[in-house]
Amino acid sequence: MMAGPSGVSTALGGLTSVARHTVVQCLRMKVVGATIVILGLLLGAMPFAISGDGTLAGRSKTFLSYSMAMLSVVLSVLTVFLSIWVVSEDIRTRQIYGVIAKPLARWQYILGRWLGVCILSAGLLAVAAAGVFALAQYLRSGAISPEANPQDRVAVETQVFTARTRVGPASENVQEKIADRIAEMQRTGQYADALEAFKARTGGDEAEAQELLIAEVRENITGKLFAIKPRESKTWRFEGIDHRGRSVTGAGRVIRVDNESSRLWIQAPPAVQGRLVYGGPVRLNDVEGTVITIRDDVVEVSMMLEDMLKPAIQRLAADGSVSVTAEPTIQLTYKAELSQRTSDRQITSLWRFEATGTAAQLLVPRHDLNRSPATMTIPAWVVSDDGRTTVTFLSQPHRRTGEWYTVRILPEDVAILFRVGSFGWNFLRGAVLLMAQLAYLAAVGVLAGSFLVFPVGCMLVFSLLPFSVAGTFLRDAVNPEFLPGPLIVSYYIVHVMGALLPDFESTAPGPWFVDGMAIPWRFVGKTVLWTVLIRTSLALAVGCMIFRRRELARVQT
Amino acid sequence: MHATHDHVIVTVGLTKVFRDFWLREKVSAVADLDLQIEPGEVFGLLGPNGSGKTTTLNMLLGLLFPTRGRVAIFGRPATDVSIKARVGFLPEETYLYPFLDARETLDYYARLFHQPRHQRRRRIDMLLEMVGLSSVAYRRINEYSKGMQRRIGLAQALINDPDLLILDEPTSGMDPIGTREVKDLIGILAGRGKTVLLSSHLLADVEDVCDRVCVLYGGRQRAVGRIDELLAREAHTQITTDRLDDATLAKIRDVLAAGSHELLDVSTPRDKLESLFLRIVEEAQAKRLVTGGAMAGGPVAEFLRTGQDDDQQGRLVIEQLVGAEPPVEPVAEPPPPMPSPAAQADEDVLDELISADERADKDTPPPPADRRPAPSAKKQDQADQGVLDDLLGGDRSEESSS
Repeated sequence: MMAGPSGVSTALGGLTSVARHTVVQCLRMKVVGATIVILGLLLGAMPFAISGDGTLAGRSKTFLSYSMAMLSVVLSVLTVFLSIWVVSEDIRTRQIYGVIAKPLARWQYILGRWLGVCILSAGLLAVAAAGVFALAQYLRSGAISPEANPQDRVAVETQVFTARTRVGPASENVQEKIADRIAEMQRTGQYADALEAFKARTGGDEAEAQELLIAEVRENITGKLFAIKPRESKTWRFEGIDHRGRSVTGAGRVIRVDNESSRLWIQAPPAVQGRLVYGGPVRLNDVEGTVITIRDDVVEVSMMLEDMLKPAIQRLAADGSVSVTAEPTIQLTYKAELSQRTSDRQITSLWRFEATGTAAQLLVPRHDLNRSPATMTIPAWVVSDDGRTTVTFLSQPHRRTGEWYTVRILPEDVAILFRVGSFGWNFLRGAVLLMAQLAYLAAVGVLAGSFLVFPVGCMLVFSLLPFSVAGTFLRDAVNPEFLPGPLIVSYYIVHVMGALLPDFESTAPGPWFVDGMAIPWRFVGKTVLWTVLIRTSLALAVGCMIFRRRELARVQT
Repeated sequence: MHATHDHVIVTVGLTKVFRDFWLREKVSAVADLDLQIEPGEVFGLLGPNGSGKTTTLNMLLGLLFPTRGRVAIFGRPATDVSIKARVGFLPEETYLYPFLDARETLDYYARLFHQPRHQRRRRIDMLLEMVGLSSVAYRRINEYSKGMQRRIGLAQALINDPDLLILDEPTSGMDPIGTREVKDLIGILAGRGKTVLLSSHLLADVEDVCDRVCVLYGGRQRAVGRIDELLAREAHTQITTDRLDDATLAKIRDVLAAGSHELLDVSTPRDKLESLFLRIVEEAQAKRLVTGGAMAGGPVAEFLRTGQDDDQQGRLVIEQLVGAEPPVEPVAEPPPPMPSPAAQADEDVLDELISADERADKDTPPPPADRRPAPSAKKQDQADQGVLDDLLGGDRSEESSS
């Protein structure tokens, strides 16, 4: 190893020369050109080919999901191929002779090859991700779906093209209640009888009978805890809602006023308009309204009839000025489940939001589909200054039949979502996650190429990939209790691989974008630390060690 | 010969055994090879195919690791990266990147030597000119003929002006022009004190350029020594002169008989096919006939001849012109190449030959000097001088004084 600043610059010089050469080499390969063309064609056609659930939000989500998955798969496969190829082919064709005969340490060669593939992958990722982002913005504009209604547009803005975080309700400690109930059953002697009954069902298997019994107890408890009977209500308390939203006010211009429909069309200054969302609150001259559409810099605002009669609104006229205030919003997401069948599977409900410790209150009527996730956007003033809010579900009769019914909402199915950043920055964080994945794959590829011929190297890397992309499934699937004899080794293989290899399943950016959830910088940092700084460095270190000890002029068989 | 730290290459008991997957011995490629190569020497590794020449070179370059024994290049292990800055290597086959053109190829290798951009450009221009590929510098390597690839391979081996040049079958695939140029180049580099290790089974090439050779067979060293020592037929003397008539031949026979010598062979020497070929090509190029292949190479690159790049010289000249003190060494003109013992011997032999010719026949033009006579030609000529004097019937010392 070299020492001192000149040594470092010499070492970096050799490394960057190899990296530069690698980029040129890869760019002149037909497979890279073909991949770029195919990726471009598929991505370009995708927004027009997909329809999702028929809504603009669904279409946007499907596009983001499919395009990010395709980007990830295509670039991963290309990175693996290239990284194995550039090293193994150099050795096979003996072009390595001319390189290693120069003042270039073998570790510099390996790192240079890795860096070159990474630079190329990063370039391709940047171009492809920019394409996906541009197409997503095109979808968002509604140009492909002019039929989208205002609610759909609200959903697109508040649920897809955003970066939110999630807060669940305060815990009700179900586990503790299950343990108490089991203890009580054992005390009263009910447990042994119940276990016998379940053993009869499982053919004498006691472990399975125990699992079934506990599941039954859980079902009973959650049924009681989370069921909302007719005319009853259920309250959840949320804490730590740091929506960081502040009202922003600016001078806008009135374009049109339509008293009949209680609508106003205004132009707001960019700093204000950037914070307005479809369906979100807006105050005009301190009178509250709701944003209906935002198109061509013109915001359509709907107001209550009585508010239209207020002097502050009455005096507004076309080309006049108006004070526009953008209010921050939060969202409630939940999934309600009916305890019995209804004719149209609709659930009618009333939700009450209270800023904890204040008298501020908001009531929102809803009609949702049974067992379907629902989201409502509400002004952020329902959150107290210390980040707390209380949400209550008030049972209501069916809006058409007048029938009452029991509804169940599990604690994991209800959450407050609030915006913590923009979609653009979130997309960038997603691209960083993908790049970490590609950097790791390039390292593994270079490692494989350092001691294997190209086809065998590919086989090795692609046989390892399932542990990274489907690790959770494999860990769940390989249950040691059901593995006969020597097959128990597969359990250990899956777990060791799970520890050694990164989990691409959890770091895939697509699902985050689909849910409009913010990828926290901390998560990005942790992923980069483990995937790049630790696992990638480890793979490269092993690759350097193997390559250092390799006799490059030895004929490969 | 004892190995010292002054040797450029030293191998001690160098052995390479190739084993199969089960570690069973498959072949012993090199066995107990002891070599010491001195600075400025042109050393030839000779042997038939599979004799271990390339394996030896690969061990010297760290591409293979010895099974036993030791290798030192410039006193350092073969795997030491720092010594590679002083080494140039032309492999047996030209393993270049087919997707690069000649200029890009040389640029890549020059970058690995951390050469600054202006130096890279200048050297690449000079080397392309030297190997006759300037006109096809932007063609991809995969469009080159084998000989053209060989030329660019040679250029990459010289990009760093190496102190040690390792050439594995350097003339393989080259036309006679290229072969001649390679041999000339080796002579020039040796004249600058560079060390050249040459592996070949083309005996004529080795004989032309090498000071010492080692003959390998079955991985073992069979003979090692100076070319003239190994090839000398001490029992015979050969004289070349202009055509003699029968009477003169009879006189010579008588003179030899008087000295108890026997005339074994009288023949008219033929021109070498290489000379004929070079003459034809030179004539064609003088007429500017069209060719899509390599041209005859240009002059040897300045930095290889003088050890200095053009810009370095230019800077010194400018500094002299403006009266500044030259920072390195005063150079009014490029420093003369460092005379090697071989080159000095050439000059001595040349002087003697000219004076002898002048003495023999003032009207006869002096014969063209061999481009690179054997280093010990002087000694050989002195030995032959006695017989020559006898033939001419005079005393050399007397003629010299007259």
